[in-house]
Amino acid sequence: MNRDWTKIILGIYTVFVIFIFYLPLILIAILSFKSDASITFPILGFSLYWYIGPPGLIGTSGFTSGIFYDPQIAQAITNSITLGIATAVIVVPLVIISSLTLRYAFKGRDLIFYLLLAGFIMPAIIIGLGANIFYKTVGITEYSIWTVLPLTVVYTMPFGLILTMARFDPLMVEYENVARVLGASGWKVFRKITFPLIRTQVISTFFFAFTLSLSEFLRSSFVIAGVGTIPTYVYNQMSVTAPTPKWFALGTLSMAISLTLLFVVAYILTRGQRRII
Amino acid sequence: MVGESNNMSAGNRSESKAQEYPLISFIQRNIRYLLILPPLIVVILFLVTPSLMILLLSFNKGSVTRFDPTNISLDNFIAVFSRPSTYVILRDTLGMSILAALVTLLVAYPVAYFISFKIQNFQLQGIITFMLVAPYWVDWSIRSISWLSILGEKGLVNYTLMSLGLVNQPLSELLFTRWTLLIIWVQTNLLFMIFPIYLSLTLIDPDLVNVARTLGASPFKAFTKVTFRLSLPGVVIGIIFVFISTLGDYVTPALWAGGLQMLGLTVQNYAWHFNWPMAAAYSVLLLIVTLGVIWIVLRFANIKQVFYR
Amino acid sequence: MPAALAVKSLVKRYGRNVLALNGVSFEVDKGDFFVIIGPSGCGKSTLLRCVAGILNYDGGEIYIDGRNVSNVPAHKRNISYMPETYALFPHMRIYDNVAFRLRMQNFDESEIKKEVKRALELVGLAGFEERWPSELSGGQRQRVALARAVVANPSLLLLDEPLSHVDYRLQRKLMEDFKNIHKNLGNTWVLTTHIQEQGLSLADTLMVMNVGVIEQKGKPNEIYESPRTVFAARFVGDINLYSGQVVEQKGELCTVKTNMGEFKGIYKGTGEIIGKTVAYGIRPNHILISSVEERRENSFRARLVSAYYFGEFIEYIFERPDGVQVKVHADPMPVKLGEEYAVSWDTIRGIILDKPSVIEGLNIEDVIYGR
Repeated sequence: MNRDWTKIILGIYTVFVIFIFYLPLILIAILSFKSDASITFPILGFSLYWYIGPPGLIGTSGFTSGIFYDPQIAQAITNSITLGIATAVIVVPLVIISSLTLRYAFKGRDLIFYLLLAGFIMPAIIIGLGANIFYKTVGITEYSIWTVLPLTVVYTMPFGLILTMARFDPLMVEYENVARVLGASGWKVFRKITFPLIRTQVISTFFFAFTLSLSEFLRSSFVIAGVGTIPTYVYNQMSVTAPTPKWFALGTLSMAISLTLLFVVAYILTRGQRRII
Repeated sequence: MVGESNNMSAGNRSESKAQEYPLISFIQRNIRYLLILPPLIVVILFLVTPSLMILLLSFNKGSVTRFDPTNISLDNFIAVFSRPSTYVILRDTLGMSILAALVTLLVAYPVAYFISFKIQNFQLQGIITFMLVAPYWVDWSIRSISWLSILGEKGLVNYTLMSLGLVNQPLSELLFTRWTLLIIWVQTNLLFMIFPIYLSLTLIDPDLVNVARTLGASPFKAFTKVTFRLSLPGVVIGIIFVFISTLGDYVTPALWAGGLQMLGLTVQNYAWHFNWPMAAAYSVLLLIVTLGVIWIVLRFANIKQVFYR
Repeated sequence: MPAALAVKSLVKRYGRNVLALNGVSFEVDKGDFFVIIGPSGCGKSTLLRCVAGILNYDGGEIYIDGRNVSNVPAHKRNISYMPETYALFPHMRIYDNVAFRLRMQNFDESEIKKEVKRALELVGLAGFEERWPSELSGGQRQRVALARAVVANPSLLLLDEPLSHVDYRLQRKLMEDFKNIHKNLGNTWVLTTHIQEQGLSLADTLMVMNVGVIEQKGKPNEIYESPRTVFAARFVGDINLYSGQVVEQKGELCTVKTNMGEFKGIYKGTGEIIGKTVAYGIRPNHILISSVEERRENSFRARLVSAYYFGEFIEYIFERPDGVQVKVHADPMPVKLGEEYAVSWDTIRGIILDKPSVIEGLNIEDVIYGR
């Protein structure tokens, strides 16, 4: 029998890598149900303490409350999701128009292509520090997620651009030409031909932009104030108090939501046997 | 050069109007190219301008936080380049970032290869890729401290070793070394290496490998001469990403590297102590290193050809 | 009645140096089956795309049914275009592909259904409505693309290289199918092709293009019998071409001295050509073969070196002792490889051409021997 040994070995290897990749997350999930305050072993007992907190302490922040009733965590989650969605909503049209424009040859195309990828090439600390100096110079001193938004946009746009352009149908321009000759005006060509052909890339771009801005810390920490996003909030909290399983509870919650949502999206997108990424 | 274009559709409808307003006619004729302006403006405003401001500020002295044209000197750069510590930092930073990029490549390539070539079902491919994305929804600091639970004195590794009776004392050197930093960097950047390699592997026509085989190439030769060569754009993008993201990281090294000084960390230290011009000078150094390495890596593959054929 | 298509002094440049169309002018009559033939890179696809309105040009004018369309966008020209790749929309079923134009014109769905059915029946693909383009073979895809192009009966149909993906034997059959559909619809068709294919004789009008210019336009038999240039002669129908010097000119009748001897032929141009280097051409199907010496004015002996079967005729290749070859198309006959025969032809069949091409400055011998 002629087995594909490469496939078997690579399969085992892939499963192993995914296991190692997920190991911290598995531990986070287990340890979030600990009943004591340390984030290490041994596990002495399980409880929902870090999720719902002790009875009677509902609505306080900090060390003793569970994540479900902590108003600051709720604020950070709201901020993060707002930032993520705002980033994705801005990045998607920017990626669509720039990727479609870059299909045509024109003077300076290479320069513009590399400029649009610059958010990907520029080290995080330079983007963060530069934005801070930029805001100071133009007189913006009130920091919030809206001062972070431009940074997450320039940072996530290159990912969308790479993803969208690499998966362009080579015949796309031809389809558009034929559609025009068959009587479709400019907007109709986009709606009936171009957009359906890049729809999966657009959805993937949306999710990538959302995911990347959700976990963004290195750039945003320079230009954010107050509770901030989940990464900045958790980082600031952890630098003043010792880590407790409360953060693991928050991590477990994010993981549960992300896995469910992404599985559903992956399932829907791949129904027609199309590549999504 | 303007290649294939159809400016006629716009030109016609408003011919009479266009003659009165040359600007309107120009916009209508070139709308297809002018669409690049919004993304370009965003990048120029929030990326190019800030970088130029850093560059300007690096020529100032003292504790200014915005550029002062009356106070220009090269003192910061003289200080940066005359300190022996700069070269140690540079060596450690480059060493660790390059190492991280290469190790990530080694770990990631077989995975990307497996997903793109050995799984025929696109649905399964999609689910595996999204499974690799899902952990990034978990906050970055939370993922980071979970390493305490794994490699810490009372972490999973020590706990397991001790319950098995393999060691009497917990191994304390598991954490806070440059190897810890390496493991964490590889783990956090894995997806960004797998993803571009996967992307470029799926663009390869499998028949190319088949043809190479029938022309007498062994499976290994066919891989190195055809598959790997054609996936180089993805490899290069992955290397650039991991390299840049580790170069710009100033938190992970501070937390886990046990006192190892890195370039990003140095920038952050000066910024923290409000010596912005000095932070700017180190940023310029960081940028030069970054662009230099990208320039070298881009010699190995023309990444443009993947995007506009 | 205005021409279905009139192109006037059309100029198209790619970049600064490449002149794809160098002032091309021609007209296509209403209801014509018009074929443009020329080598790849001669600009015929560019020409088609300019007419379709998907490529802008640098000078000249295009009229469709007498209307100047230079400023009319592609979607308002009421024509159809089928590219070489067919470009079937991959995200639409066959039905939606064919219905595209009707949808753009806001037809009723019931009407659309009727029209789509009619178009698919016309191309012989009734019942394929629910399939996806990826499920079809190359030939079926082309038929769907054709159905999509003819639906709602546009006045002008542009087909770019419709024969290039088809097997040599099927080309004639396909042309006949096209011809039938064309007759059925009664509109104007313009096709391009890059090799002289089977069934070119089915064209109502043939136009030979060389890089950026028109070599000759006319009925297929006109160009075949009286090509104006060596290039046109080479491109329409097979031909044996030899270079030589004109030694005698009496009206149309000329004598050309070649390496193989003197041959007589017809020169249809005007002017004195004595002493000039010209091309002497003879079509392979005008050559006769016999085992005994013929008393024709043009003949020589040569050895049969190979024979290829083409279905309707056999191509025999003869070689003279000096290495010069001659191609003959004839019905099967009792000849043997390696034997020597006499090849001969009538003077009236000899074509004498003094112009290599309408492009100035070409060396005639280069064009004759395809250099």
